[in-house]
Amino acid sequence: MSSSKWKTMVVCTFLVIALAVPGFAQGDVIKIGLISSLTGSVSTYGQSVRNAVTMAVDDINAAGGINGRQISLVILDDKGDGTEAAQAARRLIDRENVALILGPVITPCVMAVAPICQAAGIPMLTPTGTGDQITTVGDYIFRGAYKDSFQGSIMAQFAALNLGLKEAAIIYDVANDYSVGLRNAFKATFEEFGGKVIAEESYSTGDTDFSAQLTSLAMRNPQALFIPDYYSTAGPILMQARLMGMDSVMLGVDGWDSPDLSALAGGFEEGGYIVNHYSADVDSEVTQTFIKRYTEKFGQAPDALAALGYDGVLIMAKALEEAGSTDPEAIKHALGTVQNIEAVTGTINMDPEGTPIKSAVILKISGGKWELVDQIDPVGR
Amino acid sequence: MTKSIPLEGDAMAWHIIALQQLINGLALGSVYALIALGYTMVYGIIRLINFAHGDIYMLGAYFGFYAITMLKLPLVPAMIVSMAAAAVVGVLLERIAYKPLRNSSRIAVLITAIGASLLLQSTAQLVFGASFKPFPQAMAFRRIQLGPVFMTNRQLLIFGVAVLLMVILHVIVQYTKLGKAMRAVSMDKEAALLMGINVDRIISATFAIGSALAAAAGILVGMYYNRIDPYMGMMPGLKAFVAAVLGGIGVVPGAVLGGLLMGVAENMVVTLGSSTLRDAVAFAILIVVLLFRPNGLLGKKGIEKV
Repeated sequence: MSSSKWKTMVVCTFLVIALAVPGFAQGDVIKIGLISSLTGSVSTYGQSVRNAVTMAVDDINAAGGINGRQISLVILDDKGDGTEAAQAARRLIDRENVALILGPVITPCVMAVAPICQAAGIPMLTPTGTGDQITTVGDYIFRGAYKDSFQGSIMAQFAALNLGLKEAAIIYDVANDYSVGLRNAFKATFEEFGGKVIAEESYSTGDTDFSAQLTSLAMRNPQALFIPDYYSTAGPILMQARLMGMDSVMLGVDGWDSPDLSALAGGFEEGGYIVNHYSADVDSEVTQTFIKRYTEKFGQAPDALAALGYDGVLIMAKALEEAGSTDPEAIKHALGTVQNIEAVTGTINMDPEGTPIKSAVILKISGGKWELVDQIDPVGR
Repeated sequence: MTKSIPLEGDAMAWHIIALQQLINGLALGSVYALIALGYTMVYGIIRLINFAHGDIYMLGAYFGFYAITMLKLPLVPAMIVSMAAAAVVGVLLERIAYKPLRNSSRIAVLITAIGASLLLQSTAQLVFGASFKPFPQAMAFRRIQLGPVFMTNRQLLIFGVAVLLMVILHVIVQYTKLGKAMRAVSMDKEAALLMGINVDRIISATFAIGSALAAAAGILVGMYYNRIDPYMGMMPGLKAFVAAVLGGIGVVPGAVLGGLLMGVAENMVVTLGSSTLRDAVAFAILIVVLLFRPNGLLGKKGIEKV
C-alpha cells in the first residue's frame, strides 16, 4: 500500500468517526430529518410538504431557534416508494444522527419507515400519513393528520345525511393500504346510515386502464362513486368515468388535493366532493397568515399537504421545547402530550396514541376552486 | 354529460356489458398489438427479445408530449415527429448496444437488452422528471353511440390508427423491395448477404419501423389515459411481449392476433370475475396456449418469418 493511500485511509477513518459520533460535528444545532416524496407518482404532495417545512423551520431559526438551538434540516426524497423511504430512514438514523424524523408523506412509505424508527428508538412524526395502522407500530410513532377511518366515515356520513344519497359504488386500489382502509371505513359508515354500496371494483397500483372496471360500474348506474386514491390515479379515473357516461356524484378524499388534479382529470373533477384537512376559507388568523406568506414565497396557494407540513413542524417544535433536550425518550413523551397548538389546520391536541384530535372539512370543486361546504368535529368518533 | 345506459334486466345487462367490454378490449388490444409488432419483427430478423422496446413506447409518449406542448403541433404532425424520433432512438440503440454483440451468445444480448431498458428508464426519469404528467388533450371529448353500446372518440382513434399502421406495415412487408429483403434476412441471414442484401441496413430499418409503431402506441395511450411517466413502458411492454409469444413470435399477423386477444381477455376477466385477477389471467392464458401450441397460435415450424 502506497503512502498516499495510507493518508487517504487515515483521513477517511477520521471522517467516519466524526460522522458516527453523535454531537461530534453537530455543535449547537438540532438535526432533523425530512423524508418527502419529491418525485414520483405523488410528487406534488412531497413538494408542498418540503416547501412548508422549510418555511416553518426558517421561521423558527429566525426567531432564535428552540431553547436557543438552531434547527438543521436534512431532506431526502423517497420517490413515493416504500423501499426508498426505508433506505432514507436508515441513512438519517445511522449516518446523519437526526434527533427526529419528519415524514414520510404517504401511508405506504410511512409503514416502511415506522418499524425502523421504532426499533432504533428515534421519534417519527408524519405530518400527513393517514393510515390507521401507522400509530399502532409503536410508541415512537406520531402523526399530524387525522386517520383514514375518520375521514372515510366522515365522507360516508356526509354522502348519506347531507347529500341524501342511497346508493354508492366504490373503485379502489387493492394494493394500497390507504385506499383499502378508506374503502372499508366508507362502506361501514355508509351502510350504518342506511345507504347501500351496490357495486365495487378494484385495481392495482400503477394501473392506467380502468375502462373495464368503470364499464361494469357504469352499467349499475350508481348515484355516487367513491374514489379513495391519490390525485395521479383519481384524475384519470374521473376522466374515464365521465367519458363512459357516468353521471354519478364523485366523492373523494384528501389524496385528491393537488394542483395537478385538474389536468390529470381533464377538468372532469368539477362538481366532486372531498374530505380534507383544512380549507382556505376558514376564518382563522393563523390559517390566513400562512396562506398569504406561503403564496408570496412559492407563487402558488398552499394545498392541505403544505398546511399539514407546516403544522408538523409546529407540533415538533412545541414538543422539542417541552422536552428541553434531544433525548429521544423526552421527545417521545412530549410529542404524545403537547396541547393547544394554534395551527393552520385547527387547534391541535395530541392524544397519547399519537394522533391529533381535530376536525375535518368537506370541500366541493366548483368552477375549478375548492369551496368549503361543511366542517365536521371528531366528537364521538 | 350523457346519461348512462339504463339497466334493463340482468340478462340484457350482461349481454350489453360483454359487448361493451369487447370494445374496450379491442382498444386496449390494439395498443398491445402495435407494441407486439416491434417485438416480433426484431425477433424475426435477429432472434433477439428487445426488452427495451417497452421503453421506446414510453419515449414515444414523451416525444409526443413535447411535440404538442413545446412545438405546438397538432396531433397528427406530433405523432409523425414522435414516430420519427423514436425510430432514430431505436436505430441508435441497435447500432450502439446490439450490433457489437451480434456474434456473441444470445444470453449476452438478452442481458444487454435488459440493461438498455433500465438505462432508457433512468435517463427518461432524469431528463423528463419522475412526476406523472397529464397528456395534452389535443382533441375534444366525444362519445359515439352504437346501439346499446358506445365508443369514445379516443378508443376509435386508437383502433383506427392501429389498423391503418398495421395495413401500412403489411404493404411494406409483402409488397416492397425492403419488405422482401426483410423476409429474406429473416429466413437466412448469410444467404441474404450472398444475394447482395445489405443486412445491417435491413436490421436498422426493422428497428426503425418497430420503434415508430411503439411510439404511435405511446401517444395514443397518453391521450387515452391522460397520464404518462418514465415507467409506463414496463407493464405494457411485458404484456405486448406475451402477446407476441401468444400469437407466435416472429409472425406478424400473430402479434396482432395476440395483442387483441390479450386486450379482450383482460377486459372480460373484469366483467366475469374479479378485477384483481386481471393480470394473472392474462399470463395464465399464455401458459395454457404454450402448453398446447408451443410455437404460439399462428406459429408453425419453418414458417416465413419477419
